[in-house]
Amino acid sequence: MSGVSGVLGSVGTTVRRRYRALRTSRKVAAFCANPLNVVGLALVVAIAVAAAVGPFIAPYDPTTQQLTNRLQHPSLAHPLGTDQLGRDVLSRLLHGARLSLSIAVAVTGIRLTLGTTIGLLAGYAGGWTDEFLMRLVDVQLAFPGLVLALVIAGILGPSLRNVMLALALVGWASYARLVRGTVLTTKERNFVRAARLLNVSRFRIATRHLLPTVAGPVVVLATLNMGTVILGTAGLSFIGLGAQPPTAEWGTMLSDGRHHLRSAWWIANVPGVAIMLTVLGFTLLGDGLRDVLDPKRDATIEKLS
Amino acid sequence: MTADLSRRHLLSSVGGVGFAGLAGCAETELGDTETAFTIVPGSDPTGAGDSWDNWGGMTPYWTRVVEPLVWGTEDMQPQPWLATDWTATDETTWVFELREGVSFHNGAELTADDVVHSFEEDILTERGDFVHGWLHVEPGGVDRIDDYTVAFETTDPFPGFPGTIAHNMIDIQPPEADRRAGDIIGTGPFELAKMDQGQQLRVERFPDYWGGEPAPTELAFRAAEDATTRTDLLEAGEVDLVYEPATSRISGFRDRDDIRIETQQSSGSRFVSINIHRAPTDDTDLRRALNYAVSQSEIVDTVLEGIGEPAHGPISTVIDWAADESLPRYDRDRDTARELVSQSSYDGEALTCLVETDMDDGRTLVQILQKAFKSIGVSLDIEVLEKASLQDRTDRGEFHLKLGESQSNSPAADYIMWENFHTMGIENKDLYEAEGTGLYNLGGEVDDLIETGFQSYDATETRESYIAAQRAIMDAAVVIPLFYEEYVVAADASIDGLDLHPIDKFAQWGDLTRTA
Repeated sequence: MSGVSGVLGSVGTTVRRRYRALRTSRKVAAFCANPLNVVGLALVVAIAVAAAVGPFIAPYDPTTQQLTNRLQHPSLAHPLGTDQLGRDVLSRLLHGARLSLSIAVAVTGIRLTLGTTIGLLAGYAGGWTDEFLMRLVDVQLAFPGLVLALVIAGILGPSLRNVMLALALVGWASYARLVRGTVLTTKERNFVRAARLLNVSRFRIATRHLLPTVAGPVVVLATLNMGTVILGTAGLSFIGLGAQPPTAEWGTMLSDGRHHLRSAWWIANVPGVAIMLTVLGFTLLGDGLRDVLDPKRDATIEKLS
Repeated sequence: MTADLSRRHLLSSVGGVGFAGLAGCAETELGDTETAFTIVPGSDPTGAGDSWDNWGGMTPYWTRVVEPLVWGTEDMQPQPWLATDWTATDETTWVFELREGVSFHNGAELTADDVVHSFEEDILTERGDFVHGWLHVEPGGVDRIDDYTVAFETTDPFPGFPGTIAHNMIDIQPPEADRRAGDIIGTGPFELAKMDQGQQLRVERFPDYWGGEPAPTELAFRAAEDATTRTDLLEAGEVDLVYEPATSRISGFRDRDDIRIETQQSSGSRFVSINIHRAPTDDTDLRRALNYAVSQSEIVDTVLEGIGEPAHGPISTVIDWAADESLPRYDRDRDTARELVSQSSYDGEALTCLVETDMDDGRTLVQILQKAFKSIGVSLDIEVLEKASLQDRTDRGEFHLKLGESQSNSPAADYIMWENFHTMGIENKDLYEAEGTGLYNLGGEVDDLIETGFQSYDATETRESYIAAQRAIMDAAVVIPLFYEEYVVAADASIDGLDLHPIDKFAQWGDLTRTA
């Protein structure tokens, strides 16, 4: 019993310490100084909460049709109205939030992992490896991202899995280029040279010394990318290449509602506004994080100190 | 301050001029607005994207620039047009008498040479081999007898020949015309004035038209393939008449004084085709169960908002041999459906249903079917595919159900029966030849009945054969009929003289006028 209370006490102390550190952190203060950053964070948190708990609190099953109840205006029973098949728009929106956010996280995760690995390899190995990988990046960047994703999704066939794959395959190059650039600068710095002189393995130098230096810019890029991925997924689903009926997905909801814009504005506008706010949230948050995590500023501070 | 204002003014001016310029580009350039009309058909009149029915930047449909030998009556019978009469002189020979005194838009008179040229040099040569099978005429099968008489030799007995060539694509043009280059010379009431690929066509009155001078001086046909866009154009007053406005807006239009709504049952029918050669939909009990799960009237009353007729068979009732009343009925009965499912070989696997991305209400309809089938214990996976992917999947037979439609653009609708349900029809032939299967072909007696209907010169025998074939098809539940299509035209209320036809692309504009 005393052991448990000891652990709890230690956890409490740690949390308190972290909280105090956060409150006194210059970075947090800098982030919060700009109200747009806070708005971005609030929007992202709200979407994340909706995605996490939404499906549990949704008043109806998102796929249950009630044809006698179709195209109902927003009301107490259906706060965001019903669609052309009598399905509750709020319930579909909440289920769609989870789907959209999950896809965005998964796709960004794949892009980030693939791009970071390639960038790290190219920047650190140099020579022909760098040349080959960077030309690969050039080839990938030469294609318009969404058009290439559209082609890939078209070839693979319509499904959310294929859309994820298509978006992941077209978005890694910017990470690779960013990471390579940072690694090229960092690997010439004294602490990396010192590690090399101490005969530290290349793998360890890459993972323990170089990787942490690219974390900041990569996180910023990933945050900004989340919005792009959500837009891409919605766009591909809108034209029928993504989610298949009756999946509650924002792009599909938007597509279903476009023929009812005048008579039932809520069907298209509700997912449309949700997409807009989510993308806005991630963009503002990404901008805020860039201001705080800008490695150039760190370097400047290092030089100054 | 002054500099800011100047910059603002400059930017505003540039923006305004740019916007006006863009708007000007998009607007229709018509002359006298009293006798000129802007029409938005359901498909792109410039034929962008299609190669086989694109006459160098114009489709042969809608505009009444070009004309075929035969037209169609409102009860889907062949009607004399550029040809005044036709006779089958033996089982495979048709002789057509041409109308005298018909002028092309270049002033030359239509003669048998032009007909032979159009068929031999263009229709049977340039438009692809599929035309030979469609018209049952091979190159070299069209002969001039005299200036106003032409003979057609069909490859086999083909009583439906006159009705089949009553099609906008089987148009007559003189040798001077160059269809592929967009140099189109027709005999229609309007002559082509201007083409903007993917945007619009403008046609002008042809005063020497053999049928009498048309009332409108000019017509513009604008391209807007999205129903909502078409509807918005009408509401904004930019166009006078639109085909197929957005379904959700029709009821609102009915209440308005400034817009009139016309509906017309078409030759089209929407149904679900069932692949009868793939398990488990090769089981008749399962197919009947699926039929018993669906309420056609519910679909028409709700999603279609009353536009359409609940169907009991695959053929639109505007076609004289459609057998709606005498077909086996599958009124919704979920108990019977569940019983049939339990008797069938269905083991709970999800059936695949294909639907084309661009099909109007397609996604909504398949979701209703999904719910209906779920209620009888059958699960359905929906795949929304674009046209090429859908065709590829269909060709390979990799599906259970497909939401599709049949529509005839000529009065002879026989090919709907042949191509869909005969073993050698276009839908079934490849798989039959490769694997001995097909898709929707029962074979045997149904093939015989379709062949009799197709080849008999006795109208009663044709009708009875097709009706018997439809009975067999519905008894085996090869399709789930949904509805007979109606199309809607929304127009400015001041427009008179609208002449709609069961084949929407047969509309005539010669009597269009504007009341005060």
